[in-house]
Amino acid sequence: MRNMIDVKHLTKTYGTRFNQTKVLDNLSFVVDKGEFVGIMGPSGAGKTTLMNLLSSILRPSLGSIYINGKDITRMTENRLSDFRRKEIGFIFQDFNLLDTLSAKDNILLPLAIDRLPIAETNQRIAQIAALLGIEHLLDRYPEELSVGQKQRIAAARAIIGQPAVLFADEPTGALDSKAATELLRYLDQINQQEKTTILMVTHDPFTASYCNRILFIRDGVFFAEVTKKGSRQEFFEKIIDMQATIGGGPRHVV
Amino acid sequence: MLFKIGWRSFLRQSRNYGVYFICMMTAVMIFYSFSAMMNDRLLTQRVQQDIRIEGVLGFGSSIVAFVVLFFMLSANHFFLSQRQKEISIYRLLGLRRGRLAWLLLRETFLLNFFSLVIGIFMGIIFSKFFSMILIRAMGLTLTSHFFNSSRSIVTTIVVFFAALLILSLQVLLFVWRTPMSETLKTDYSLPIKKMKMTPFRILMGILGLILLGVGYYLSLFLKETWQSYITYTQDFSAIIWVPLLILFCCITATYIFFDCTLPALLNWLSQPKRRNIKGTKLIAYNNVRAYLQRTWKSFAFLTVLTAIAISLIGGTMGMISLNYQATSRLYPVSYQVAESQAQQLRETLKDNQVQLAADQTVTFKMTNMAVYTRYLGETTDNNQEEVMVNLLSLSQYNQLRKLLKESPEVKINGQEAALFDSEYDITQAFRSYRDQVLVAGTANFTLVQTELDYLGDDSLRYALANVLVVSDAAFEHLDGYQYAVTYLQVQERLSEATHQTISDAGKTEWIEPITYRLVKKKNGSQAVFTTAEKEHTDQVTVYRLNRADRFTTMRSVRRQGGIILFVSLFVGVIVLITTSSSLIVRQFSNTEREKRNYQLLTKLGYSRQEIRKLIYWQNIWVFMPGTLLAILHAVFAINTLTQIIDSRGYWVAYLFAGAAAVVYLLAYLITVKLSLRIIER
Repeated sequence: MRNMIDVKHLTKTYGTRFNQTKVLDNLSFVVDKGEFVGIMGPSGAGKTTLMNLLSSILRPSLGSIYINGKDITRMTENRLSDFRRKEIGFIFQDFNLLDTLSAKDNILLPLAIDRLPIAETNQRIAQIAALLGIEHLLDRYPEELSVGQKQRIAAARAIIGQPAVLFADEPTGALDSKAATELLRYLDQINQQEKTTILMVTHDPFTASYCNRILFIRDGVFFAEVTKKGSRQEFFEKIIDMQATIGGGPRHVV
Repeated sequence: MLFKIGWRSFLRQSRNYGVYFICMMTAVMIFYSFSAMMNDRLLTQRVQQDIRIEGVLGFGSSIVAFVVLFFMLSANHFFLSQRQKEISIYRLLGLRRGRLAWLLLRETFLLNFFSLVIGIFMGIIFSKFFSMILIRAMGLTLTSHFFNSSRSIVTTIVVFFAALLILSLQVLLFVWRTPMSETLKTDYSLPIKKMKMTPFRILMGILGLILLGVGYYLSLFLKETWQSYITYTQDFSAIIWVPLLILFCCITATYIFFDCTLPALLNWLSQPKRRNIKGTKLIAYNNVRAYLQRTWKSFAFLTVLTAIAISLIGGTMGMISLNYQATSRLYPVSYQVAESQAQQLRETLKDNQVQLAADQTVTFKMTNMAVYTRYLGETTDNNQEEVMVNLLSLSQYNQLRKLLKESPEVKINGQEAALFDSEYDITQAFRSYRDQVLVAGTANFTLVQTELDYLGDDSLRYALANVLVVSDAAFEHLDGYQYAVTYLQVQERLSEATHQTISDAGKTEWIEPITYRLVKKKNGSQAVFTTAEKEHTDQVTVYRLNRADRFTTMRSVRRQGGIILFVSLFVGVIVLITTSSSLIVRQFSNTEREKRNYQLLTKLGYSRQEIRKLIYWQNIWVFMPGTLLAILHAVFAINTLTQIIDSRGYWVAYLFAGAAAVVYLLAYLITVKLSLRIIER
């Protein structure tokens, strides 16, 4: 299987020469195409920094990141913008929808620059709306949507550009359990049907249990890796055990 | 501790406060300078024979104070609402209202105090510059000087503190009257109902355009509208209500324009075009639309205010120019004098080494004339008026024309005549002369030409409003009272002192009384003249002025025009500065609020150039419609004024409209540059 994400010796430091904080230290891992990988770890472990590095929002201090065969650490600012638009999708904890745009226009945002033909965009919207069950919400404004609906719109926006990788940063963090389960099912569907590679940062073992593999990091270095074998319930138990080992402790009790 | 927190929050809004500070400082500077000029004895005494500049400057500074007070209140309210989150936290922490008000007032006082001190300081420096402009505008021969008036400083401080008192009341009301639940609403909510373009809102948008069209159409065809309406209804109240209707249409249309028309247009623009979805502009259009839904009233108000400022300047300049033209027409040559006193004046001029460039004596013949007139709205010519008129022969008129550069060419034959009416520029919209006139009850003439009176001061012609130019033969043949006026043009521009000496040598007085009465004849009436005193009630005695000089009157007109132009331009500048500052401050806060959205767009793959393009485009739509509409309103308003009072002075208003466009363009560029800095920080 082809490597979708290939991270080699990734290091990120903040601060001045005399007062440096190493957030990530010599991190290397590979994510294959079509995988649904979770990143877990206690607060301050460097999960969000890792996500920002992988999605090219931050530049690494050392190391390289290959996404879909392209080294994003060597790209110019303009090429990075194109790369972000065409190769990756984002889902944020707080949805980040533009209040002034309708749900449909919010979903279309990543395509707006490329000025695609209406027929093609309509076809894509219809397909994604059907997949996420949001057909009836397209003309509404974000303020008219529930949190679960907002996150589904955000998910639709993330996948409308048919990205190679989907990054989800605590996507269920602001959702109630029902909305969270619903979203995770949709993410699972996207992963299964569209063969989209998903990398998800989460605190929550229940959310993480929808992944195929979990990478645990602590203090900027790899701590462990847990792979799904058997049922989701067993996988969930393993995640809780690993969290207990790390010291983060379970948050979500099923 | 509380002070430190408040101070930090204050500093966070430093950009907004910076704009406010500059605007206030400019206002204080102008107010102080006006006050200093009012108290400058040298300046006021120099011009007091022509105009009391204290009155005009006082009026101007009152308007500046009112405009600035409005700006202060609006900016202060805006700043308070920006800090609502902070205020709500203080309230939650149990801070008493009194202390909270004091915390806010202290900052307001501090900021305004600095603008007061620096404004007065700048005023002291710039008052010399301003008085130089005024001296130039009034055509004075006076050296401007640094004038440091302690009285003006006290006046400025008193007025400023009065404004601060009102401001403090606003802060207290805000703290006391805003309930806790309101202050907790930290995020503004989008008016969803308005964001959706319902058919009703689209219809309202179209109605706005229709109203605007009606207003503009009426202003373009004001005279025709008056004429047709009054002809049809005989209702003269239209003279008042049609201009009011135009005003109503334009103001209402402006409000509807910002509430419905512009949002509808933006909505239409954001729809997919030519089978492609909209690009980055989609976000700009929707952002501006959402922004308009919250601020449409402010936008409309600022637009109307700017348009009124430009139009008032236009109106003022039109009047000044009209006055200047009329005076120039009344005094076309250096001296006009009754022929009997011309020799004496010639000798005085010679004694003062003044060379004459032209010397022309013209003979008039006073008689009566029956003329048919038709007033606005009348359909028949039954309106016969018997008026006194001065006759002038064509050859004499042509000789005089060499001196009067603006006077038109007259082409008459036999029994044709040309009428010169001194009120023609004002009355021509309401009154028209019919073709036939009967002179001295004996001779009929056909009026082939009606012109404005270019023949000088009619006071020297027994204050009669009309001069009738007829052929030389007709002039000889007609009866009337004959007298002459001499027109003298000096070669060089005289000094004020020489003028004074010449004026002092002769007295200006009413001379050569003549009594007349109208006697009924077979065809009409005829005036019979006598030099005897008036004996019967049907007799009229008239006098004429012995001399008139151009210099004194033109100097007075120039000075009056100069001070009015000076004050109105400064008031206009203050209006422009305050309105554009209001827009800039609001845009900064908007950008701060939308900063997260721009960061999101970066994450979604929008390049820096695309986001910059978005900011430029978005701000264009914030600044452009209001500016265009204000200028358009002003242009149509000036056009309306042109139809009522024909004057050449309206170019100043067009110039000011251009200046307004430049000021708003600068405001746009400042906003864009600083917004980019906020986002890319």
